[in-house]
Amino acid sequence: MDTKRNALTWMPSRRALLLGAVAPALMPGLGLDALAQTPRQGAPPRKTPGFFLTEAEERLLTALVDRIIPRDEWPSASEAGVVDFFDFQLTTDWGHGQGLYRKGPHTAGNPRQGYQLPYTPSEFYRRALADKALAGFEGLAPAAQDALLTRLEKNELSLGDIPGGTFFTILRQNTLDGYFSDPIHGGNRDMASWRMIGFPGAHAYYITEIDRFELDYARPPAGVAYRTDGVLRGVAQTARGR
Amino acid sequence: MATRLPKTDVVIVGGGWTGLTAAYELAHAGKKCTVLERGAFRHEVPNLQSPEMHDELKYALRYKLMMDTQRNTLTFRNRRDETALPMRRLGSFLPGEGLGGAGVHWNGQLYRPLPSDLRLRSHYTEKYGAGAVSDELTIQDWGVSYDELEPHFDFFEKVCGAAGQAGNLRGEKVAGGNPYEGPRQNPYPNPPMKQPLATTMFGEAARREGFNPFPQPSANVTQRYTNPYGAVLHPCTYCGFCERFGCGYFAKADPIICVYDRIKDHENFELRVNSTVLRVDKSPDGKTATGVTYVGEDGREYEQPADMVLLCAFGLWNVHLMLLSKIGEPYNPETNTGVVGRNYAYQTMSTTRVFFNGKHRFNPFMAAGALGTIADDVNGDNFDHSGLGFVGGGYLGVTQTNGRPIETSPVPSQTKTWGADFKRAVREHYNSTTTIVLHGSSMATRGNFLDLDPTYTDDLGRPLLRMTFDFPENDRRMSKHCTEQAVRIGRAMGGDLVEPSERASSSYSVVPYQTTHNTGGAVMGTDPKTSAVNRYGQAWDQHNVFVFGACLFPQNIGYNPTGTLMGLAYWTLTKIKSDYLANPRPLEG
Ligand SMILES: Cc1cc2nc3c(=O)[nH]c(=O)nc-3n(C[C@H](O)[C@H](O)[C@H](O)COP(=O)(O)OP(=O)(O)OC[C@H]3O[C@@H](n4cnc5c(N)ncnc54)[C@H](O)[C@@H]3O)c2cc1C
Repeated sequence: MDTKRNALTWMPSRRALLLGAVAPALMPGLGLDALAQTPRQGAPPRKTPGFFLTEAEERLLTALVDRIIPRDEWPSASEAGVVDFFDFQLTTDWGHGQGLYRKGPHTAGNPRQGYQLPYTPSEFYRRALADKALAGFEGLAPAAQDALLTRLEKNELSLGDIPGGTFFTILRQNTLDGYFSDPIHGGNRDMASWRMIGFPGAHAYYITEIDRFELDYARPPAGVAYRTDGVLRGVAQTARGR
Repeated sequence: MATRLPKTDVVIVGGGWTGLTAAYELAHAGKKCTVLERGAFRHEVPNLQSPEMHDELKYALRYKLMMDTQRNTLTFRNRRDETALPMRRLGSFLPGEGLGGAGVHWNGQLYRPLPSDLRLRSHYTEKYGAGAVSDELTIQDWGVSYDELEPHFDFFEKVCGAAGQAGNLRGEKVAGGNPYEGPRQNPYPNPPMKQPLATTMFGEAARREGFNPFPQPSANVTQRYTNPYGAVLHPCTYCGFCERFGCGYFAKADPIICVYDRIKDHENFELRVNSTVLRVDKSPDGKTATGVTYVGEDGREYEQPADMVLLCAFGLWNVHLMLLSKIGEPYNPETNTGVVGRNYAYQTMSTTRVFFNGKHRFNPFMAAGALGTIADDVNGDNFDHSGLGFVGGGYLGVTQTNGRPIETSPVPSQTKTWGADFKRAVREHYNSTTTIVLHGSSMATRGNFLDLDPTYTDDLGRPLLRMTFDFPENDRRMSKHCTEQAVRIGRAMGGDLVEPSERASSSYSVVPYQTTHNTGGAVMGTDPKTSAVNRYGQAWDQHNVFVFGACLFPQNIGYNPTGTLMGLAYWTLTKIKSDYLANPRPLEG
């Protein structure tokens, strides 16, 4: 069975799961685990309104994150659920400014002084994604998309009062956050990124392996909400061809 | 308007390593101790259990166990002619909040200082002449010697169940340990950690290059162990979720399991969480403290009278409280007078990545916070500094602390940091790359200091602490010299590509994580003109205020601070118990 491909197609979007089946408590972490880890084979991805992102934002963000992590033998960022990850993260306490000092005055400062904008992550993305500099981005050819991202990265372009470099750095980091974090957060669907690099995940106990040099550690990955009776086990066990 | 509460003997600000230890020791000396901790209650069971604890996003990226900068932070600038701006998010360092403080999410790399570190200025001038210390530096002696502190380092190692290999037992060199360490009375209570491939390769290469590698001393314990307080610790599982996480395995020594659990039921002990101390209150004549004022769990202000006030709030916040409470004269860099805020220092880190392009399987996810092989040959004055133009140094080592995927994407600097090439490079290098760290000292200068910010305030309306810091020229030279040694070892390891990256090659930035080893600001010493507290940590002007933590360091050493600052804590507590309690007064001698 071509498990890799299968894993990608049968996994319904997180949003479909959340809104289609049960309405889980809107809290980060464990409230959603069971859902995220209980794929129902064959459920088609559904177009339903998300927690935060509008459909237009979702389309743009899909195009953006897929240039940060494009598809190759392994899923692209959006294929691994990173847009769902954003959609959910931006509604959490973090999305609304937890861990962010917000008092003014707000002055640009220098890069060594860190983020100085007045916006929480949810405000930040809402503003940035609405900026005209990004309008039509999803329609561009990949090379043109990369060229625009590079201009942002080099701070040659800004999104209103958001410097391009600031936007790029945060977008890149949050894309990696979604791609590589535990699937309970909505990205890293089927733990694809962990299988890609060989990271075994949250269940970690290596007393007898730690000093075995060059060990080919092939145990399939397991997330915080991993369940041995779940469908995922069968997939993961064959995932790396072992 | 503050409600006045019944008096306690000792009020302790902060419930981390220093605060809980002080409470343990003084409660057993018959004093009623009240610990005020600004953060929440938390415990290994149920709050720190895996697999829930092993959530990289929540704990390592979103800092769930740490200080919330939404409420309190500091402002930062490199130089005095710049405007300091708030550190709006955590980055360069990660102060703790909640029971156990930063000790819950530390790594457990557990070191003692070198004997010469503690008399730094005297040592260099005696050995290399008066010109050895450049005018840029305001470094000084600690006022306390290694021999005075040795029993206290020893005791803290026992509290932690430290795992390591002695290098100098009562003056005898022991093979396999650190040959440069000061004489220790006892071996480590537990055997060293097992070493994985990457740290072993580092040790072998270092030895071939003439260095003296040894297993990193670790507070991740290696066998079932009972500490002197009766706490039971279990062997480390090498799970790779240590730094930034709590340890649900009871394997990483922390102040909750090692200290709090053993004192919590004592009749002289009381803990109040969600209680933020606003200031230390002083008597009308200013000669003593009368207690503290704090905001309690219910949001109301309380006055807690006490015979003694212990500042155990973490170095930076001790300094903040001293400035707000006018304990000691604030430092003025213009006139070079005053002491509180003076000699703030940090840590000078470099990393040298050694790429093996898929030829090895290091399995970086099998890891522990204090797992590593270290060489101390370029630390302190373990090497000849003649003609080098700097003082200090740092340890070199490969420490295999984690392979968590958001934080671990080692790609050569030629590779773009995004896109298809990046993705392929992460895949290729994740399991076959290792890093040699330089953990370098940080020397104090006249221009690096802490004071109160004129503009920004915390959620309670108090001025934020302001940090002015950049890497001194001395430390830039040190970093360059020692990083060259790291590159040499990296090449000897057979790396296909060896790439150093030095923090001190450019100005200090508050954004990327470096260490939570903020030192100085309330330094100890024997001269009230250059120290905020005496050699027992006692405030010069208010004899019933004692200060704990890394703020006491006159400049920072090339080691992680907790072994040293806890040695100092036991030194202070021993003096309080044996002398001060019977006769409270400014201590002499
Ligand atoms: C990620 C990380 C890794 C580390 N790794 C190592 C290592 O490997 N080796 C090493 O030696 N050190 C390490 N450290 C440093 C180590 O954690 C600290 O040196 C140590 O915890 C300091 O103990 P403390 O008691 O001084 O302060 P803390 O442990 O920070 O405790 C201070 C407590 O005071 C509370 N507090 C602050 N202000 C107030 C107030 N106004 N009112 C009431 N309460 C207040 C805080 O909430 C906190 O709980 C690490 C730190 C971090 C963050």
